[in-house]
Amino acid sequence: MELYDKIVAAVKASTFDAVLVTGADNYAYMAGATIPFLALYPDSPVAVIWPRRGDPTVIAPEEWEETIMALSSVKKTVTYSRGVEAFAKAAADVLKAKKDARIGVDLLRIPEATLQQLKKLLPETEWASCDGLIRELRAVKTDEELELLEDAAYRVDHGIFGTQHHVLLTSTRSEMSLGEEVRVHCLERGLDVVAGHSVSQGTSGPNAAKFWPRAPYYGVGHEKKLKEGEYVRIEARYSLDGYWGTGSRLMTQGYPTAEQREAYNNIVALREAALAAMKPGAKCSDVYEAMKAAAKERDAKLVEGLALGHGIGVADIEAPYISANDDTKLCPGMALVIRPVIEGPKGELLWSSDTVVVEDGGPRIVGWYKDWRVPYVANYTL
Amino acid sequence: MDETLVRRLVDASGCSAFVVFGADNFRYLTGATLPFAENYPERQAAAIIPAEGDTCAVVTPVDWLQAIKDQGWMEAAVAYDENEGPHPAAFAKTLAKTLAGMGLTKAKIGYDAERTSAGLVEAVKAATKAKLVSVDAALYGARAVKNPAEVALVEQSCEFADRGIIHALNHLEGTLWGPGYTVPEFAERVRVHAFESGASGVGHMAVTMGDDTRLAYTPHRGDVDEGIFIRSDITCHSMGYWCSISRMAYTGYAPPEVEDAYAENQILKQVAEGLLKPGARCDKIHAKVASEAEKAGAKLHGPMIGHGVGCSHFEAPYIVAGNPEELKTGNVIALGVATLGPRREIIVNRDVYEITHEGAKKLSWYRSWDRIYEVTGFRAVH
Repeated sequence: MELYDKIVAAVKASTFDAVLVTGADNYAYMAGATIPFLALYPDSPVAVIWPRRGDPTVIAPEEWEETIMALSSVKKTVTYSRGVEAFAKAAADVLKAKKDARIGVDLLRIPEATLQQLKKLLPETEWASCDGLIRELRAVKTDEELELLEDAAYRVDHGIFGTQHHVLLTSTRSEMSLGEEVRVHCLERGLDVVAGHSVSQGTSGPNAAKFWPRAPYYGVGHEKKLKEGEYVRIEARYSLDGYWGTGSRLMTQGYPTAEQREAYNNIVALREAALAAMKPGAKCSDVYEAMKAAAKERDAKLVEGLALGHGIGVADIEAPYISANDDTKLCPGMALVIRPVIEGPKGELLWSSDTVVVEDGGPRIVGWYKDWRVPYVANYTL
Repeated sequence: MDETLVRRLVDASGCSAFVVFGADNFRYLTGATLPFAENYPERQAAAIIPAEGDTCAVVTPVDWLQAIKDQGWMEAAVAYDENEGPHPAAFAKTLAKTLAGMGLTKAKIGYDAERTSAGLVEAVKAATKAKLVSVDAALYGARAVKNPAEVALVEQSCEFADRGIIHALNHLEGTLWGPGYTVPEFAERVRVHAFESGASGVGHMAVTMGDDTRLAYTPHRGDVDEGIFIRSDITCHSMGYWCSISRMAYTGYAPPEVEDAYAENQILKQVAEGLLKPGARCDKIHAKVASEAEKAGAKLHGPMIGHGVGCSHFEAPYIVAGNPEELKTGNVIALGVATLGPRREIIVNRDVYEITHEGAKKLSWYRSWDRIYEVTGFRAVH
């Protein structure tokens, strides 16, 4: 109930008479419900209406009512039976008692068409963005959330390490079998496979030069066999009771060459630069600049155009972002993933993502099953 | 998607161009599937299709661009820099610049208002002088009627889904009395076998067992026991074209009340199947099935008995009360009449049909599911 009470307090302290959230991620957060497929049904939206006073209400398609009641911490439900228009009407019916109300709505999630319908149905209502409120709420985790995130990070890391441990130079694996082994190891560690976007992927050599080799077969392995001397990137993305763990680790097929070691050391240097900058009170953009400076100093080929990290919670990528333009101040309770991508000696895209929790005394890496200051080296013995 | 048809669609709308933001519409207009885009509302892609001229364009995050090109996208492709501003400003800025380069700065642009967040619309309006008008209805109509190539891809996806389910059930044979399977492992086998059979992506995956079959979804937990229902719901795609399949099984020999409940469900489904013809109204199909259910004393679960599949696993037309839309040749429908079993289990055997001049042609033909699958330990039933 820690999270529920936090939301109650935040809505009460806001300038809104009620908050309406429609994004699947915002829904998962506010309703406390792990229903992984909601984002895949834009024509059957769900929402939470959270009034300043009184109990929150979930708006859901009729056929999902019982499921949502069973899984959600919000126990009041209003259903609708067909499409977005009926959804808007159901939401308007819940909100109409609040005449001339100021409703906070997640404008960065609600489809424009839905918002226009709500405006027609409730012409006296003032609609204002509550994206900032939700973003702030989600960015700072409760202790329970942090515990889950740390646990998920550890299990993912363990799953990847377990996979690497099976790789021998003399009886090598294919990328597909790497993916399969990551999957099995993560399942064995109790992680949830969320079909819509769980990833267990191994990429090696030239395939590692792409973010998504052999699109549109995303997040599964391919038939290529690993070869001696190659860099191998193993990625896993799984959830645990609705909170995400996302990991990527690097392995060399045999002892790393000087160039491979140098590339890895660049990643380590960027991680260290990030950790040194991630003090409570520092801005995310400061962390970004520190990482950029470290890359420049070491002449590391940082892939441009991407944020160098992001928050993690009910979504595996969420605010705040370690980017040039995100001036969010770090504070205790935030969980972020450091994820700079650099080019390796043969054009491979290399990253080794780390989940970090910001605490009073500074950042703490969570979930390391192995000390990742050095890559995993596949060798001749298990 | 036929490029001429797309251009004609844009032209008929009176717009200078379409700009679509929804992952399903992006797929429809470009032929490229984005990596898990529905789950990343703060990462954005758009396809720009002008009515005239040679150049179309896509705008995506850096790490999605190669994946689009690898799927055969030969026209302009622009990545936006996530560091140029918070979401959605960075994306909107690059989109505006791209539109300007295409001479569309002040143009009338059709967009998918049912897929675009209000916040993104606001940002695009702030970044360009283009006039945005909703073209959801045009996209809806065009997407609902498939060409033979699209139907062929949906048909393939049905085979992959059915193989996923039957192979997982095959693995379950003979295991109930030993250490057995866990629910997550069974569910994962469905997913993996769909991939191994050729699926290029899996969306909604829900395996419910025993009492949980009363719900649309529960997190996959626990063990597979004897004497219970198993419902496997899976949606998967073949190169971006989706199916939606549900199958029922029973662990052990099904007792008479289970066989009867399943048979009752199948009779209602046959009624619905017989009505799937060009010109049939969706509401009337629903009404007939509801009336037959009432006569039989069966209880329907949920208001919808069918929906379209194509670039999404859940799209128009919707076979639901209150929808007067008529079926057309070329519609592809996932038909699943859901009824309640002896202990309120949701029973549904969802197949996919193409609407042809002659009536409904089953695309999910891989195996007959006219009788409930019994997990009895005898592999001869395969």
